[in-house]
Amino acid sequence: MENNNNQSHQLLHSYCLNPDVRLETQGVNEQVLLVIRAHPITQLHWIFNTIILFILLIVLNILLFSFLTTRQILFTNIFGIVILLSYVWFNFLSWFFNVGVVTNLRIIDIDFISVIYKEITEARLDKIEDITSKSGGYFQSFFDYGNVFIQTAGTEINIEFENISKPSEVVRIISDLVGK
Amino acid sequence: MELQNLSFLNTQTITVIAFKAFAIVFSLFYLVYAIVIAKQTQVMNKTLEVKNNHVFFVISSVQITIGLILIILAIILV
Repeated sequence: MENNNNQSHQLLHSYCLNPDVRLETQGVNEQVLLVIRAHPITQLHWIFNTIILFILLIVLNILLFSFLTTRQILFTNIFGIVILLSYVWFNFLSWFFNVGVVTNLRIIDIDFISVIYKEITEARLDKIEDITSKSGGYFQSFFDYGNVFIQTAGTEINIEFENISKPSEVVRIISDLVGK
Repeated sequence: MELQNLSFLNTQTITVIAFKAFAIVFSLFYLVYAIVIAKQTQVMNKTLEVKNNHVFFVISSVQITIGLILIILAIILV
């Protein structure tokens, strides 16, 4: 919270340098340096689905008009819109809270699978052996996103950040920290 | 005699009853879903504290309120 120097939020908060963020397990001398999320372009599928479902709801109105009463149609519409908004909210939460965090002491991967299941993986910087970034294909190259794979020593669990913004920048920051 | 007693059950009445039953059941399902999401949002907020994280709590609370309104609408309106 205290490290506000050169704070920046880029690409719709998918790449945040020195963010105003605090972790549940954050130590006293620990500072959050980087918070990374999936690139916004990877979230287009559910935005597109929402538009399609909204159009389907309008079509459903026309089809149901002759079968249902006005009250029933009104309820179907309210219910449909509520479900659509919930779908948007669910996907937003999934995107917003699935983050990779780099602190001055460790790297943490927070995953909320389907929002319900929580999985936190962390690796101390001194245990990191190898960092690889993978970015291939037209979209990944054009929008500058990809995967970062962090290999740790021994039996420690490896960390993978998928579809994150600026993977090469992330690798550079982690490499600098590991080299210190 | 029995057929005469059941004569009020015409197609339209059956449709109305079936629709109401479905509306109430699905509204209840939605309410349960909204409560689970609200609870999980609290867990997520605790895991990663961001600035203005009360917004998540407010939206989740609104979702529960909508769930309750849906049940009332399903009972009264439909």
